[in-house]
Parts: sequence; C-alpha cells; structure tokens
Amino acid sequence: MTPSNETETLVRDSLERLAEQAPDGNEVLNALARARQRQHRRRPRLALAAVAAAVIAVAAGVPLVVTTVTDAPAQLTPAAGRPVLAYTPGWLPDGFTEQYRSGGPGNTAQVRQWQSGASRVEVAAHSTADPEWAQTALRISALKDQVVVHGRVAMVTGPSDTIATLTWMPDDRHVLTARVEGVPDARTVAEQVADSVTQEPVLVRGEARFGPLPAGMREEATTVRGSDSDNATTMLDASGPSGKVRVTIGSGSPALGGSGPVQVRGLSGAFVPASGPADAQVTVRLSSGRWLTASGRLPREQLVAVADGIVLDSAPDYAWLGTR
Amino acid sequence: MIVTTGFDDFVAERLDGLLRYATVLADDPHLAQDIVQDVLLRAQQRWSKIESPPTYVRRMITNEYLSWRRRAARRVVPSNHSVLDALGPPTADPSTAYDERDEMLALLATLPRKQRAAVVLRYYENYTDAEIADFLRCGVSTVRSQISRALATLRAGMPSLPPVLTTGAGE
Repeated sequence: MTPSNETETLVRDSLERLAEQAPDGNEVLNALARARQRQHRRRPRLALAAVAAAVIAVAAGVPLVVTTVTDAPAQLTPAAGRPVLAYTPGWLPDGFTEQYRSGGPGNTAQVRQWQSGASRVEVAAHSTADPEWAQTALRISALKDQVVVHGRVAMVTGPSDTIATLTWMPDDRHVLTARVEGVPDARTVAEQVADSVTQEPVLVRGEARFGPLPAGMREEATTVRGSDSDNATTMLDASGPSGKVRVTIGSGSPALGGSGPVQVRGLSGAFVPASGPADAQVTVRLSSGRWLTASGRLPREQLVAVADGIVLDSAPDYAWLGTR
Repeated sequence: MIVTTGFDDFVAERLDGLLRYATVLADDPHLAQDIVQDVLLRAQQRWSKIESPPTYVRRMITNEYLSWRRRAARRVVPSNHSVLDALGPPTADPSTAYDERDEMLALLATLPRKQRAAVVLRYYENYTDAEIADFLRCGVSTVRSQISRALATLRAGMPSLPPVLTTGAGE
C-alpha cells in the first residue's frame, strides 16, 4: 500500500464509521407528515370520489390524468350512486370469495371483503381528508411494529395471532388497510395481501340508487353484499341533520310485526314505527318480488318519500359476488 | 403545491442514505437531521419541477451544510469540560473506544468546509474529480487542489503515517 493509499483508506474507514452515527429517519418523516397536514388544511379537500371520478373519466375515454384533478369539487354527485373502488389485491388465501363492496362520495371509505366461512379479509381505502385518518402518517411512524409495503413504512396492529390489520399510505391522500380475521398467522397473511394490492378499480353497481332526499340529507354509501349473486343485497345510506336513513333491497322479507298499512311506490306496503333501539321502517314488495325497505329515525312521511324516490336499476352488477 | 407519489418513493428509498451523507458531511447527526429535514421540506414544495432528484437533493444538502456551517459559527457558545460534565457526566462506553479512525475524524473536523465537502464526495460518495467539480460547480483543478491540500493536512496530523503524495494543481 502506498502512503497515499494508506491515508485514503483511513479516510474512507473513518467516514464510514461516522456514517453509522446517522439518525434514523423518524423525525424527518414526522416533519414531512406535519407539513402535509398543513397543506391539506390549506387546499381544497380531495375526496376519494374525485379519484373515482377520474377513473370513470379515463374509462370513458376522457383524457384526464388522475394526478391533475386536484381542483375537482369534493362532492361528485354523478359518481355517488355507483362508486368506484380503486384498489384490488392480487393475492388472497385459498377459498376466499368476495362478498362485500361499499363506497360513496366524499370521504366515504372504500371497502371490499372476502370471506371463507367465518374468516374474513378486508381491504379498505380511506381519505386523509377524513379527520379520523388524517394523522395516520404520524401514527405509523410512532408505532414500533413496522413493516414495509410497496416501499413504504406500514404498521401492524392486532390483538391475537388470528387477527391483524396492516395500515399504510400509498400516497399522501389515501390510507389503505388490509385486515385479516380468523386466519392463522394473520400478520403474515395481511402482509401478503397488502403487498399484492394494486390500483385496479372495480365498480359498485347495485340494483337501486337514491332519488330525492329530505332537505339537508346527503348520500353516504352504496353497498352490495351477498355470498353469491342469487342472494345479493343492495344497501344505500344517507344522513343529515335530521338523522340517517338506510334503504335495503333484497330477496329477504323483513320482520313486519306491529306494522300498519301504508302506500309505497303505488303498492301496498307496511310501516313499522320506531321502538326502543329499533328504527322506524317502511317496506314494500316490488313487482319483481324483491323487498325494498327504508329505515331510520325519520317521520313516516319522509321514509315513504325516500322509498318512493328510489331509482331502480334493471342491470345491477352482481356477477362478482361469490367469486375470487 | 401537489405532493407527488414520486416524492414519497424517493424519501422511502433514499432517506437513510441522505442522512448518512449529511452526517458524514456535517460531522453532527443532529445538524444532519436538521439539514435533511429542511432540504426535503423545500424539495417537497417544488418536487414536480425537479429534474434529477437524487443529484438535486444531495446538492441542496451540500449547499445547506456550507451555509449552516457559516451560520453556526456565529452562534457557537463557548463551553468547557465542567459545563459539559454538568450537562451529562461522561460514562464509559466500550463501543466508542478511541482509535485511529477517531483521530482521523478529529482531523477531518479541522478541514475548511469546502475541502471537507470535496473529501466526502471523493472518499465517501466515490465521485470522480469531474463529478465533484460538476457537483460543487467549480473546476476540476480546484477539486484536485482541495483534496490534495486536505490530504496533506490529514497526513501532517497523523505522524504515524508516511508523507502523502499530492498531485492536484493549485487553485
């Protein structure tokens, strides 16, 4: 070794030793997360519906880039009745079939569930504009039990070996969760599911959507559920200052004890008044044989009006129910 | 300003490396953290306009180090061993045993900041003279001179090592 090389080698070794004293990145990540929160508070809130609308626009051939829709309004009514769920896992444990999709306008969570008996896998997307999820980056960075999902730090939570939830942020506006219940080594399964998640959108198209709603009431979610297409149910949720209302359409007949007659959609229906914790409801059997029920802490007239306004869809998409 | 996904990917992939580079450059983990944090916060604001993020961010860190060093020099509070002991009495730590590398680090800490930056880029980042010149926006001959002078200083402070050969041209 030449004298020059000897010195240079010692310089290299010394600098490498110094590099080992570098701090971890948690403080920096926290500062970046705080800066983002401040940005979110300053700019118009982006909702998941904006992303959904962008996906719809792309599907329709409209040349729209998803990352440029930041000026879109927070509420996009046309997409509300048929929400788009933006994320799809590419891997699931054997035997699980999809039995639940739910989404809606604004900050409504996008939720998909797969079941196998009593075991369940759920992938959900939340908006960081939702106060409940706004501090996720900080929570992730503060938790010791971290893993990496798609190159991003994620946190694992769960009370037992058979229940685990993985939480990560694919970008600064969304929080994704992969929850596994009733599966051995749930943490590993949740990690595999999370690693396989991609931005592959799916549509939620039930057999009905809301028509006019009582003043101040807004759509919250559209949900389709069922173990297969033969026992599918569509649920519509809305809420407002006066309360909440849920409309359910399916093949099952609801309990009608204590009911009285009422005209709904020009047909003979039943009204069940609220009792204890049970909401009031109006129910009618449609000409198709399906049952439509509107329930909530609303006056009978308003429930009837909501049920009357429901727009039926003759071509719902239930084909995915009970499939992988 | 939109924060793009690209920024998240960049931070996820490179934050550790940036902190290590800044620590080597600044010779202070806390200052390194402050520098990297400041740089990334600013980079985040204009991410979509940055053409080559790895080079740009590393250059920002280097420039920030040079300016922080100047600012810090004016803020230095005189201290002594009794004050430092009062803040935290020294305790034995076998992992920090003093050796030749510590001696070299102490010598590196005495280098003028531009010489230190050139040395770090050469011996930690393994840049060529041309790359260092481009990075520091100066001539190749200046880079060689800085490194040559730095090595001479380091060699002079390590009497156990034979004299260093200097090849760089003068500034």
